[in-house]
Order: sequence, then structure tokens, then C-alpha cells
Amino acid sequence: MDLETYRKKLHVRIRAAGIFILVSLTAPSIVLIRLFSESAEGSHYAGFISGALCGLSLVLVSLIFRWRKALQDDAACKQMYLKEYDEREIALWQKAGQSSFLFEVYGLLLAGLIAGYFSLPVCFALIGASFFVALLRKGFRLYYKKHM
Amino acid sequence: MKTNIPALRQQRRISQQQLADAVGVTRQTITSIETGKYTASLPLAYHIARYFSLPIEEVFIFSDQED
Repeated sequence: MDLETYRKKLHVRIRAAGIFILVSLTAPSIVLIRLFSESAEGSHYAGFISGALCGLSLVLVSLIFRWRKALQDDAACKQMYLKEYDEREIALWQKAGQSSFLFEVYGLLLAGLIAGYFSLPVCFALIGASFFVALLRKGFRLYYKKHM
Repeated sequence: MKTNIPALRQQRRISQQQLADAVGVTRQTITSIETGKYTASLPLAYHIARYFSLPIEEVFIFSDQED
């Protein structure tokens, strides 16, 4: 990928982040609060989700500032591009993903088994998540096997 | 993998950052290649060798004992 294509990618990211911020701070929050505010547990959940969306929106706002700065400054844009597409950085992420995979799957399974003593829905959710991660990795492996 | 990059840089008075900018990687990648912690890909090795106007074998020292 060249620098010009990367700039276009940054534009797309800024727009996508803006849309996410706009949607997350309006529609879902209002719907959630209305739907779940009747019970104590429901309002607790609605509050958690609203807070998480606000936090995510704040992170995206900071990223939007960083991306806009990169678009205005060639040197900053090149640094950001190099950091993202540097082959050693990519290799580090791949190696980290490879190393952490087994820990993720078995960690979720173990957590699920332990959670089973306290809450069955949580147990099933965690075990389901571990299967999802394992299947997702298998799926990606099959995809890359065909394309490489 | 061992390399002659530090010596070549010193000869031509080039910093790691300058070499990194020229071949399109970060300075940390050049550092890792020089210390032998990271093995450059073939395209990167070719770009580095071309930057120094030398064959790859004179820039990167390949040992038969390496994986």
C-alpha cells in the first residue's frame, strides 16, 4: 500500500468513526434507557452499555484528532503509515496472536467451568465464547490456506 | 541472522533513521535487524542491499546452522 492509498484509508476511518459516535451517543442510548430502565437490573445494564459507548466514543474522538493531524502533516502521516505497515510490527502482532490463542481458548473454558458453579448462563456464555474463538481461528486458517 | 549493516552505515555515515526512511520501515526494525533479533523478509533484504549498492550476500551473513 502506498501513502496516497493510506491517506484515503484515513479519510474512510474518520468518516466511519464519526458515524459510530453519532449513532452510539443517540439512538442506542435512548432506546436502551427506555427499554431497560424499568427494572433495577435492567437500568444497571443500560447504564453500563451507555457508559461503555461513551468511553468508546471518547477514544474514537482522540483517534479522529490524531488521524486529522496526520492528514495535514506529511511527516506525521508517513510515521503513522510506517508504524502500521512496518513488517516487524506486523510480525509482532501475528506472533502475539499465535502465542495467546491457546491461553484465550483454555482460559475461557476454565473460566466457564468455574462460573458453572455460580451461574449457568455465564458458564454457557464463556464456553460459547471459547468455541467461537477456536472456530474463528480455524475459519481464518482455511481462508488463508486457500489464498496463500 | 548476522549482518554487515552497522559497518556499512558507519562507512557511509548514515544513521539508522535515515536507512529506515530510505527502505520504508521503522528505526526499531533496523535496530532489530542489526542486533540479529529480527530477520528481514526477502523484499526488505533486497531493498537494503540495493540501498548500499551491494549484493545481498555481502549485507546479510547467512549461516547454514540457522533455521
